[in-house]
Parts: sequence; structure tokens; C-alpha cells
Amino acid sequence: MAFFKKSESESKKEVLTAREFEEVFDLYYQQVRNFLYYKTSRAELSEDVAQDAFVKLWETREKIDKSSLKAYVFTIANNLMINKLKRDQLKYKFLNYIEERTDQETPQYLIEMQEFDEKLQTVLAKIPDGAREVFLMNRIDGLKYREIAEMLGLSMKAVEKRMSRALAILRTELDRKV
Amino acid sequence: MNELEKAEKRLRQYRPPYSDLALAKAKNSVMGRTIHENTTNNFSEGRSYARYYAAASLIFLLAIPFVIHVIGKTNLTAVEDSTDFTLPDGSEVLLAHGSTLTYNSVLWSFDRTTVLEGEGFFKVKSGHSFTVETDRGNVTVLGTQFSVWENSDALVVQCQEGSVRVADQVLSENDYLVVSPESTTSGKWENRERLISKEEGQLNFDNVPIQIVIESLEEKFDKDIRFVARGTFRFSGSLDNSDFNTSLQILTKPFGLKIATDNDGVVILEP
Repeated sequence: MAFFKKSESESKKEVLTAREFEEVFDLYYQQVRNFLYYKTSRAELSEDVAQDAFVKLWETREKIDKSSLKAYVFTIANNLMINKLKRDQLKYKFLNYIEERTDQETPQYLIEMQEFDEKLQTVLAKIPDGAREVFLMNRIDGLKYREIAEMLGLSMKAVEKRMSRALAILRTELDRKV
Repeated sequence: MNELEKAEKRLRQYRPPYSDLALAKAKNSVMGRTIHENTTNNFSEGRSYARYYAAASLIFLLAIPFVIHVIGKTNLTAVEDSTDFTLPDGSEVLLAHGSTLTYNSVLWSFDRTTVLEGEGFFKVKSGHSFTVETDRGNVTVLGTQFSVWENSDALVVQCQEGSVRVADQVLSENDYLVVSPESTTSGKWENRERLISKEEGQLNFDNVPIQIVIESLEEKFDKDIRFVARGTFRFSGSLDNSDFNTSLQILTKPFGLKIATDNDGVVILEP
């Protein structure tokens, strides 16, 4: 990891090496995949597209600037996904997720949570794509606004705006459904 | 706790539905489609992949014995009548009806091991050891002619030429050995005829251990016979296969053996 960061700043014009490519993969693959997943809610499709994006990154390594790799691979992934979605209009369903274990799993809690999950997911589906992916990257993957901005090639302001939009929808929709 | 707080708390427990295994697979797939494609340019960079190659090679090496086992496994079965088969080195085996011999054709030049189920007469070309494995024990020879007969109760070996090792005994020409759960007996076989000669309509036996005669009767009449008497009995004569009870009488009378019947079939008892 340290090796990669050093070479990112020092040797901007060198072509990406295999070792560096592997490091980029280790650092960003999961984030790219999750980003696509938050965007589309399609687990397998997101995996495929994320992998294709890294293959594409490798194929075009001679044309790219190593300092902007992160944003570049997210852009590739986003574009690939948009192309796929054009062919197959998907409706967002946020149903596939793994729940982290908690210590309070009484039957009553589980039933309550099941009901709440359904409600929460219906609301999540109502958040526009751009806002939802930013919101979930922050809340689930724990990425900072600055990191998200870098990855998606957005300004900090834009990320903040999307976050507050997502939160506003969440708040009103959750309250309405009580 | 209001609804938003509850939602925030719940969201922190959500994880995208991907396992570590899926991640490893994804990495393998992507690396396979990228840096491993042009190994000439980047091989020095990808030395951490040496272990993948090592693992792949190891799996390949470990798979070789299995592949040889599967490819070389050869089954010979005498489907209708007794059938002659020639083994890869020119050794011959005559398998009795319904008997099966299994061996590995790939390893044959190094390992002349066969597995016999049923009855076979062997004519072995001289060379390194030739082994017939049965459930009741192994028969090892160098180059000879011999018969092996086995079922769940007994193993009978008759040596016709050369010498044969069974368990820890060596049989020479015209010796036979019967291994059963109760006892192991051996003796001279005066007659050079094969163990069994089946003719149309009749079962002919010439100095044949009684276990073999019983097996033949069971086969002919589709009956279960249990032989629980001790000792070795050798039967010479013909049994008419038209009547089971008559055949049984003819077989048991000379030895003074008794016949009883129970739910599982016929039992032959000691005198």
C-alpha cells in the first residue's frame, strides 16, 4: 500500500505496473463494487461490472495519469453500468444485504426488525440514485465525504448536497409511514 | 428513539451481500484477465503469483494418480459363458460366468495386480510378481497356471503349474488350498482338470471342494445354502440339475452330512 501511494505521487508519467495494478485492485475493488451495488441493488451485475472496470483500467493503463486512478476506475465502472442499464431498465429494490450480527436477537426483535427493514428499503428505493449511493457509501462503507468526492469526481459541496437530500427524504418518508 | 435514528442504526448493520470468497474469486478472475495475460512484459512484477502457479502445479501433480486410476481402470466380465481374456503382457485368464476381473492397463508394465470377483483360471507369463486380490486374501505368483475361486465364505486356490503364494503358504504343482472363516486346509489335487466343468443339463465335479459344489447348486437353482460343517469335503460325481432336493441328497449322503431348512434357506450341518 505504501509502495503504491509513493509511486502515485512521485512517478506520474510512468505506466501502471502489474504490482501497482494489484494494489489498486486491493484498495478499491470492494468500494467500486459496493458503489455499483448501492446504485443498482443488483449484486451479481455489480460484481461483473466492477471486474470489467478493473480489466478496462488495465487495458487503458498507457493512456491514464496515475494520480487520478481512483476517480478513473469509478468513472469507468459508472459508465459501464449506465450502458448496461440502458439495455435493461431496472427497478431499484434494496433487498439483498447481509446483516451484521448483534447481541440482541430475540424473536421479538427479529420480527420488529423485519418489518422495519421492509419499510426502510422502500424508502431507500425512493432516494434518487446519485444521492442514495453517496449516502450508503458514507453510512455502510464508512467513507468520508472527501473520499467519496474524490472517487466520484464530485466537489465536496455536491457530496454534502446529496447527503442532505437523502437524509431529508429518509426523514419525511419514515415519519409518514408510521 | 425516533424513526430516523432507528434507520441510521439499522443501516450501520447492513452489509452488501458479498463474501470474502467472492472477493477472492473476483481478484483471481480480474488478475487472470489482466496482468497474467501478458506475462512476458510484467512477469517480474507479478512474482507474488508464483504461489498460485505452485498451488496449481501441486494440484495437478496430486491429480495424476487419480487420473491414471480412472483412465487405466479396466474391467473384464464374463457376461454369458466362461470367456478367455488376454491381459496386456500376454497372460491369459479364463473367467467363469458372471465373474469380474479388474486391473489397471496404464500401470500394467509396473504392477501386475488384478482384483477378482468370482472364479478365474490364470495362465501367467513369467515376469515380476502377478497378484490376484480377493476379499479373503491375495494370491501372488511369478509365472504359472492356477485357478482362484472366491465368494463371501471361502477362497479356493488350485495351482496347476509352477508355484503360487497364498497368504503365507506356497502351493506347488497340483496343490490346492481352501481358506474359510473356520479353517485353512490344503492338499494334493490329483486331477489335472479344471476346478469346475459345467455341461448342459448336468453339473460334473471331479474331486472338487464342497463349497464350490454348493455355490454351483445355488447358482443353478437360485437357492440359498449355508454350509456350516467343519472340515474339508471333496466331491466327485455328477448332479442332475433338474431336481434340487435330489442333487442335495446326492451331494450330502456320501459324507453323512445333514440337511435342515430354516427361513433363510437350506442349511447343511455336520454329521
